[in-house]
Amino acid sequence: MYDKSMRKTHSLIQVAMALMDDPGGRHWGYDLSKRSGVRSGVLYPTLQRMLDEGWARDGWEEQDGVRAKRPPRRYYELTDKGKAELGALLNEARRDARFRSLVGQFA
Amino acid sequence: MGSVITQVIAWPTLLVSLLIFGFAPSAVLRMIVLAFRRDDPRRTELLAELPHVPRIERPFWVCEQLEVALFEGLAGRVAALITRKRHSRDRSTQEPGRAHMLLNVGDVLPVVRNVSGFEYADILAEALSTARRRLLIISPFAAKAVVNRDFMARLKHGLRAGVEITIACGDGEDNSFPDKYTLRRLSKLAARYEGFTFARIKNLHAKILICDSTCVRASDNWLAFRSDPDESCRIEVGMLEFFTDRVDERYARYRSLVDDKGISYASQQAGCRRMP
Repeated sequence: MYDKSMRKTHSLIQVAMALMDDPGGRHWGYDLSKRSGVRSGVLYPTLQRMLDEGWARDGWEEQDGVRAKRPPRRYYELTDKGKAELGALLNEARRDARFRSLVGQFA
Repeated sequence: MGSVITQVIAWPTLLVSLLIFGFAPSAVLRMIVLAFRRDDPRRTELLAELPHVPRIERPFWVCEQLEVALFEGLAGRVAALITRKRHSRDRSTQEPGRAHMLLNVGDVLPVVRNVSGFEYADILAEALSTARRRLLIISPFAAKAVVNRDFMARLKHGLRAGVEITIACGDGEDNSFPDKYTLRRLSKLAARYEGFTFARIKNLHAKILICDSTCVRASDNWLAFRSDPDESCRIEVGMLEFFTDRVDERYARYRSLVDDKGISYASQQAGCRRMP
């Protein structure tokens, strides 16, 4: 099920866990980096690969315009394909000795 | 070396760094994001994220973005610049070369000649590099062996130079072609560039390449002639025509076929920003 084109790494698993914490929600870059414990230099390329693979889609937050004093943020959402792929990835990681301790606490 | 380290860790340097990163992280970040390409959404994304970073963490977070910008933004820019330079050099130096002679055989008189299957790769490469006004490729099958990184770079370069490019694929109900990499690459490009049309046409079996005033009809797929590495060399033929009027007529016919019966792949990438 899991598409092998994305190399399975610790950071990918960490990002996958953070995203699958709330599979239907919107995720923001900084927040995702804090929750996954992955630094920006790794997080953004991972998210970009997920976008390329069609696992996630991005968008810009809607704002009131005049009232907003800050620029709109970019969010990431999982697609149905992404949910299935990341679910399969985490299942595989649970069986993999390298990632077992990492995924162990993830329900 | 020792004096440099002393300078770096000297109090004035540390104070200035603290002042800049501590009190004006937004200004520093605005400069950092300039390393990303103009169309890179991360330019805006990082600036929008800054207010959500706790004040105490901002200097460190901004420093982290400097690393990202240097390794991704700047590296990406340099790579794009090198590719662009290489392709513009190819275009400007190609006039007397053999490849150029493959397509623009009749600068004055109309020409018709046979084309062998061995010439397909050179003709395709030349068409991508030398097209000035228009390029139309009709190929039922498309595979990543042909639509590779070099192909994509040439295609992008042509689009940036204002060439109108049309690619039509599709064969009956078979969804195995184009393969998913090719489909994704070309769809993304079509969603970004107005001048690029990428469509699927059912029951398509023609193999046509039109580059400006030259039309080449082939017996094999223009975008999949290298799809199977195990396949032995097949005998393929084709016909090249250099007739301005006739090629104009053919181009109009195939474009209207794409406009009327083509299903755009670009709609699948509607979220992408289009480039003018």
